[in-house]
Amino acid sequence: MKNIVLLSSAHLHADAYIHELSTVSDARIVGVYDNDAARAEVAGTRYGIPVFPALDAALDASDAAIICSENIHHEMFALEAIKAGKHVLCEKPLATTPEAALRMINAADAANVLLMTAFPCRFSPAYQQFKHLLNSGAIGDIRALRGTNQGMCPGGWFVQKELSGGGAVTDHTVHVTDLLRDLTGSEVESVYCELGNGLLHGDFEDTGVVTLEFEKDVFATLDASWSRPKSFTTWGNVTLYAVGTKGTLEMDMFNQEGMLYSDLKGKVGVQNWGSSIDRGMVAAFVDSLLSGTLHEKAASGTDGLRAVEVVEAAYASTIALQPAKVNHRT
Amino acid sequence: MNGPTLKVAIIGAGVMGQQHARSWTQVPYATVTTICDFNLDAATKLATEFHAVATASIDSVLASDVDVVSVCIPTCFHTDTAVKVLESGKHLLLEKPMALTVEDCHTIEAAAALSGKLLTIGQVVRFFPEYENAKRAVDAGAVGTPAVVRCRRGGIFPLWGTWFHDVNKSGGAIYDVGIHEIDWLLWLFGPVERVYARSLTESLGEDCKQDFALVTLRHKSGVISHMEACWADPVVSYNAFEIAGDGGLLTHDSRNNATLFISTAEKQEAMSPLADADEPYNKQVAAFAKSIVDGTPLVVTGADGRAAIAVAAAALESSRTRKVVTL
Repeated sequence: MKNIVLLSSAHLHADAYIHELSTVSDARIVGVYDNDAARAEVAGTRYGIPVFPALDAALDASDAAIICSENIHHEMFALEAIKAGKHVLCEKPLATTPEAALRMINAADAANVLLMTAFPCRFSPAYQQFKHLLNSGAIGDIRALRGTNQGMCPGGWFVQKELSGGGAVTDHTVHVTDLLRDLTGSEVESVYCELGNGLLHGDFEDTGVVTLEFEKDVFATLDASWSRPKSFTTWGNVTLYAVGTKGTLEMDMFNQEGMLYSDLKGKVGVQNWGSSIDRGMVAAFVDSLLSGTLHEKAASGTDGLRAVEVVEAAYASTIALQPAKVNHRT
Repeated sequence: MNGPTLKVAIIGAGVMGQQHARSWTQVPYATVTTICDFNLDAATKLATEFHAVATASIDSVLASDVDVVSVCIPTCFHTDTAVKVLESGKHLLLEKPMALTVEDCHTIEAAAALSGKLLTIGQVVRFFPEYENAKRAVDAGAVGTPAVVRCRRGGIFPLWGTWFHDVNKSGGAIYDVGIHEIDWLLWLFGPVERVYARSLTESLGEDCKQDFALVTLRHKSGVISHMEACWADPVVSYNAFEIAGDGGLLTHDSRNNATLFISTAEKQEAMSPLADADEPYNKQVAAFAKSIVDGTPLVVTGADGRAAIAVAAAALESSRTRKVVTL
């Protein structure tokens, strides 16, 4: 039985991770610690789990940690957990700078613990089938890709750069970038991004259209915009479209849904009935803890770093107004 | 109707020429009198359908008494033919894309100005009800102030033509398919400041009848547009757009618009029929006929056609150089 502690519930994905963890045998959640004591109390009540008053005590009671803090605190929590010899599953983006991500990776390597980046889209059955079809040559050789990860603006700390590191481009570039790297088996060489704040008019970007050039001869665009309005039927989407030499392949990851037209709420919404991608990811994390090596589908710390480097280049391109080379750290 | 009868000639009896001929016959005061194609068999076949005269000679069209000409020939021949048609004193409906270069567009516009005849470009998407409705909705503030736009067109490579795979003749998918989105984006969101694009156009050719372009536009208004021009799907063609603003989101996907769906052992097909008067090509021709007869302002001008070409040229250049192109 593996004991897992939740380090902060600032990120709304904590809900899903805790829920899915309860369905996995061989692991249990031992409690929550948060740098925000009031938030820790709320999470303790909400999930029905103990609240640790101190980080040391939380780590002492566990084999591994799931970090769902504000982005800016990922590094601090990860380094503390690693120092205590605990394995880590960290919410994306892995860090707000490539340097911070690299420090996390190096610390985990030195301490011989696992560092996994929370990229649950890899565990989507639709994505797995998409990847299988591409790899089996169903549409020939891959030539170009287009992706979207559009969503509603989550608000709160996500739009406070001192806590998040950036707006929509920070939040939503990394998922699709990770899938594209996984599909092409190639690193991103250069990036161009157009971004703006035309939706919410805040001091953070809420739109972002990113063009990626891969080391392999493939290009792609992805849309990271928070362009689903509050009145939209669901939180957002993850889509992929591949052009191959023999045809095209399209994926709409969360399209297994019905519509609910509710007079009670005065709202039209979707009822998703697809497989939980979070369940697959949490199960892979527990599997990794049991085997001592990262699950084959899991995203490593380095995968997390590569996505953060793409975000860095995206922002750089908006200053240069030309594509920016991605600076790959080793 | 008592009034003028417009005599119409079609130059180019291919897929678009046939479409134009059909649409001109829907105009009560117009008659298609001449079909011209260097392939006389193709001209004759179409002329027979419309009880018109077939010819392989453009000069005979220029020398005839037709009032208006629809030019539906490969893009690389647009400029020479358009100038001749206008110089011979005939109104001109020129298929899109207007020409392969901005300079050529200027040449065509100058010929129109000199002749005093009307010039319009077949940017037909402005007449598609779903695209027209988006213009109305956006202008009325339905999505608030627009911020980020995505649009997409195409799918199947146009195998009915013998010249589309030659970028020097067609301009590739950006010019031939993307030009529709470019014109529509300019119409809705105003001039473009800079362009970044990636495409497969460089490898387009006899041996690779496939093109695909992803283009990001930054409008002077601040709007970001992402457009996709596709000649890469062996079976499925469709068009789609979404417009996100600070007050809402407007979406369209032609795959979700079917009012009819037939399924047999041989085929599955979705359909979405319109009344004749609402068919986009009919509306385009009807609007031009009205401009000729009673001076109604043109829906699409030569300057509009040229503005779209300027963006297409910038996109192709960006795709070639991997650099952002500022207009």
